[in-house]
Amino acid sequence: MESVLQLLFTDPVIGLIKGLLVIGVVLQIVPLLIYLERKLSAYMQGRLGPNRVNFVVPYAVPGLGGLRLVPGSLQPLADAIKLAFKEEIIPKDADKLLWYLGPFLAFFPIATALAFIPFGINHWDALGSGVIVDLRVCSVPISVLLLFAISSLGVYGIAAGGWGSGSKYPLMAAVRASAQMISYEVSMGIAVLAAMATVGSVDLQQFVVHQATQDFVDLGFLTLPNWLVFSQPLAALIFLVAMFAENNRLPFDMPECEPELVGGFHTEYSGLKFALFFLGEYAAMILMCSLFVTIFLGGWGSFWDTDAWGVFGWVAVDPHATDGINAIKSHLWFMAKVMAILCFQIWIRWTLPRFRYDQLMNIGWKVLVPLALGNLVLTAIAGYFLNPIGVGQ
Amino acid sequence: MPTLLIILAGLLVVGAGLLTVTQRNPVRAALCMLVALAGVGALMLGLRSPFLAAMQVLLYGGAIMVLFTFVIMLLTLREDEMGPEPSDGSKLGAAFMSLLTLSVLWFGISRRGGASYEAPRLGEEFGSAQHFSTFLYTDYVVAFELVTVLVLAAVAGVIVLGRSAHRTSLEQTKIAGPGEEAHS
Repeated sequence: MESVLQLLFTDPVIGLIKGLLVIGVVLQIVPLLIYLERKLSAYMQGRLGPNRVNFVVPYAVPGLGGLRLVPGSLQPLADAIKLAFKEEIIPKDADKLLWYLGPFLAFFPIATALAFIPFGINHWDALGSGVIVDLRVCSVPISVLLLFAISSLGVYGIAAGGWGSGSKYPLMAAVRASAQMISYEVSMGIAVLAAMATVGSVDLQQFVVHQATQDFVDLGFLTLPNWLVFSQPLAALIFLVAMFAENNRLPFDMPECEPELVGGFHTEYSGLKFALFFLGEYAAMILMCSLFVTIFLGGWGSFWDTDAWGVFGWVAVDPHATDGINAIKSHLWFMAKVMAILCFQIWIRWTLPRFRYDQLMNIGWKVLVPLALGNLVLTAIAGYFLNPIGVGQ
Repeated sequence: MPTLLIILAGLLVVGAGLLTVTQRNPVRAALCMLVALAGVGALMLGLRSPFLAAMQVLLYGGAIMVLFTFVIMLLTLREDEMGPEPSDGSKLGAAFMSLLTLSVLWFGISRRGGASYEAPRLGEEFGSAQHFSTFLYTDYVVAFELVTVLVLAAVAGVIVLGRSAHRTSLEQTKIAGPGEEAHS
């Protein structure tokens, strides 16, 4: 006997719900992230940060009463309104087609690539209906490759924006930015290859299952989970460095370092087109952090097992359970890790000074690529001796 | 469903390919070529080879075409530097050659039996990364290695050409003397 829920939860319906959920959540995180970035930056530099556009929380405590303000929390909203009402300027020499295409080419590949990130457990019994749901939008067996294939198209947005602006400074900046992004994509890809060889799969959900269901080493007082950051520390480091360069963040924010160089799309774009570029940049930050968490930090898996002491055991995720509470816990673990890595990115911004462009290229090609290649060869040799039949099988 | 996908992707590839050769603006032509290459990826998806499709987009779309666009952007050709519009005679010749190729293709396909041609039954794992790489590194490993030798030869050729060009430009700078601009 099929229940109503079972009839309702067909593949297209579930896919649509998951897709809307992911894009909705990411679009909501972006303003939060901008606020967080400005506030954290201010805190690290002993400033106040945005503190004029306050969100008023009705706050009634007997004896205290009154209203509680969250300083500057509506600043992203105010920024968005300001951007929406800005005059749209189109340069005289602009290539109209590429000018209009640029912002979309910068945002949509990133939004599409988010579909491959597993944001929760791979088997959730949807509302107890018997329909098993994989908590990611697109369940394909080659998700890592597809994710890299699609997100690598984001470069064209920056290139089209720079070229379409029709003046030389945006063009030079676009060339600089795309050179940086494709250089660091190489070492990032090779680092992920080593991770693929360790797991023995090209499926992101398999990466998480591999990390969540095994232990890496028992230290006596603490059992480390089989996260790839422990078994592939060098690949994780390379990925982390390349991630900063891919997102054009400090210390690699050459495409847009405010004092010296003029950025590509920053020069001529204004209004909502600029906002879309900006949205793409922050969405790319979220995508890269999610990818790092999924590949190296155990994705939705918890750091300790369900048999841990007291409340820790309750908080942990059971990788075999199918109930809803477990699914929510797995999602919260994933989000917590992603937020931690995002805060780490903001933290690094005020810790390391910016590299020069030649230093950036030297690090990319002469340090990271050889290291990543060596790591891959070592992984292949180790995999052959530890597991001669087939790695990860 | 796969047939519809193949037809749509085929139309996309042909349309984008035509735009690639007819566009005057080099950056736009490069972007059209990108669309054509992505369409080839979709064709591979229709032929149940998702791994090849991903590789097509990753390598051609994400790497090779980026370099193309990159070089075109660095050159920044102006309208008067693009060379003259091809003559009517050469356009006619090109059209004739494409028609000839098309007719040969059509002849070949119709000889095979066209639509009635029975495709071989494929296993469930066909086109997956494991299946593909097993074939690539066992049955076809010699061919694969020979292709890499070909690529190596191309890389060596590029280095030789690039080095000689680099030398001449250096010598020119030397003739012009330090501090002065080289007149080319």
